[in-house]
Amino acid sequence: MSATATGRRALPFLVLALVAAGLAALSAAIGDTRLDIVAATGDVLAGRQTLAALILVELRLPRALLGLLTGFSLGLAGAAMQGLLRNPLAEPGIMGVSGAAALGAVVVFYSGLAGAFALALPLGGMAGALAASVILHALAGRGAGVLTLVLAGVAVNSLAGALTALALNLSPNPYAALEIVFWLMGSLADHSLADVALVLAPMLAGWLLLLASAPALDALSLGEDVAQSLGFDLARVRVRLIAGTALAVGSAVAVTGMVGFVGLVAPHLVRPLARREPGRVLWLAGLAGAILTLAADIGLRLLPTQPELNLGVVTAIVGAPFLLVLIRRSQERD
Amino acid sequence: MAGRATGMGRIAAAAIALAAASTGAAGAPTQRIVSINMCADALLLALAEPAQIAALTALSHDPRNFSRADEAARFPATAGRAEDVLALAPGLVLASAFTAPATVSLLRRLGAPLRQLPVASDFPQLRAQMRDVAAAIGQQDRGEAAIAAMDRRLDDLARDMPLPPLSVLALQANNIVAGEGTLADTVIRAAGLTNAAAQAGISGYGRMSLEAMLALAPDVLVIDADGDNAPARANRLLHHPALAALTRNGTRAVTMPSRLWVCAGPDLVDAVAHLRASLRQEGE
Repeated sequence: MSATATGRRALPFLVLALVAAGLAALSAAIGDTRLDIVAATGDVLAGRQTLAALILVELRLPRALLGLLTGFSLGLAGAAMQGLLRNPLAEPGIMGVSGAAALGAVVVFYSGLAGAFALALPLGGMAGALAASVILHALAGRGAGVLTLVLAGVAVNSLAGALTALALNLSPNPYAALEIVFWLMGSLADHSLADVALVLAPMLAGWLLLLASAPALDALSLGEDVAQSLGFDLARVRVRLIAGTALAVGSAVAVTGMVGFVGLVAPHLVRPLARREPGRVLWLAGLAGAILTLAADIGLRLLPTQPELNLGVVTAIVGAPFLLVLIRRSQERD
Repeated sequence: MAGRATGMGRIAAAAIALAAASTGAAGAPTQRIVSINMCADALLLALAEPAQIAALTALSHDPRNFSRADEAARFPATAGRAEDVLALAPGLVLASAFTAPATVSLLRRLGAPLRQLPVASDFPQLRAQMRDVAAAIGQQDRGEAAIAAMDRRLDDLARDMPLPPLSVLALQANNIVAGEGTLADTVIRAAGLTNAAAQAGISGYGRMSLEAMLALAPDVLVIDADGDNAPARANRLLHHPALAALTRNGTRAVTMPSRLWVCAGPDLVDAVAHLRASLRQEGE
């Protein structure tokens, strides 16, 4: 492959990475309080414990980082699910993986386990996401149609929602319902660097598993028989993708709550850039997911609403019409 | 449908008959009072003779929710549903303005004598409410005595322990802060302090980001929480390093058990006393 061809292939990746980094920086620059970002950065570097430095490091930095990490996880997981299931509507939110992860986190939290050790919360999220993925793949089976798969997602989603409601019903804390309703709406606000550190390792592990499946996804786009004849062990690919999704989405949801539709929209946006090769879509969809999440999180802070809107509300308002358009398109194709 | 309507009608007739019987003699204390609101429970315990009370809410039997749980536990509890209440043939039902509308309208339709208490958020409103309830249950004298006792305690507190006018931010779960016109605002002002959230322009209960709290940098952070409470996601906020940094920079953090200031009642003075006492301890 010539140098220019490699350059051309790398260009979309570079552009998206730069936009994501720029948005992360912008996210750190805006907030409730007016902050001289340059002076604050100076204070941080000089080790001065000023209010500005405190706000920048303890509040805005984790927010921007979580936006990047969560967005990348959701976009990447969405692309992987769409590639594996060969279904344009597959996405952690619609398929119930996020809902099940939320259930896992809620159960861990209100059972008091979360206080026992820090990793319990992300582990709960991952366990929920894993259970949902396994159920989904068992239900959907091989080559299931769009409808079957979406119905399976609806079933998993409603089961997870009902069990979450049950856990809240049984919680000894009278405010549990209120706070979990807020949390389920998804938010990057007021997290700490400790939260970021907590989810970083499982997320990166999940990303590696998903990204390593790129060649298999490319082969799968030609059909299962072709992929198998090319030497891919589909059972192993499936396991890897399920585990990767559970790690990435489970830990993201456990911290930020439910941020829907990013995993649906991101892969579709970048597919033209990836010449429709599912493997190439993975990286690009991750970056696009980070961009969408950060942009939504910046947008909601620029809106004059008081209190600020929750991130999941904004992504749903933007994402749900997108889903309708996709359904409409797949109807026309059928 | 018709059978059910007749059944309902029969219950209603029975309820009306009983209500009429129990309030028969003019001026006599109302009997068989049922409260279906925890704050009304507190008012009843303070104002009614024990013999007048037929039932309180199950909530007030839990010492985590209710300061006088021991006293409340001497009375039967209901879950506050219309059926439980009617079965007690109440002479008066006390509910809050925020009691589920379905329950209130059903009780009214079935003829139960029901009084919805408005939410009192300051001491003048509280005194008016105590008078109002005392009159409704035929215990005017006890009402005046309870008000006088409460006012005496307030005066004693104000004289006893002068505090500098510190700015106070009252923080609850989920970033909710108590602004102007809230019960917490009343307690803060009665303790001789200023409410930072009210000064920041928040009226009622509002959400405030951690960032705004840091910028506000109040002298005192009153955390509305119980140490032994069930796990709450919201309490995670209180362990955020940014809040810890705030307390390092000179903000004092004190806790207030929610049960002390969740209700407007004669025991609200306990919240004022608690706030002042914990600030004095912290200050020494």
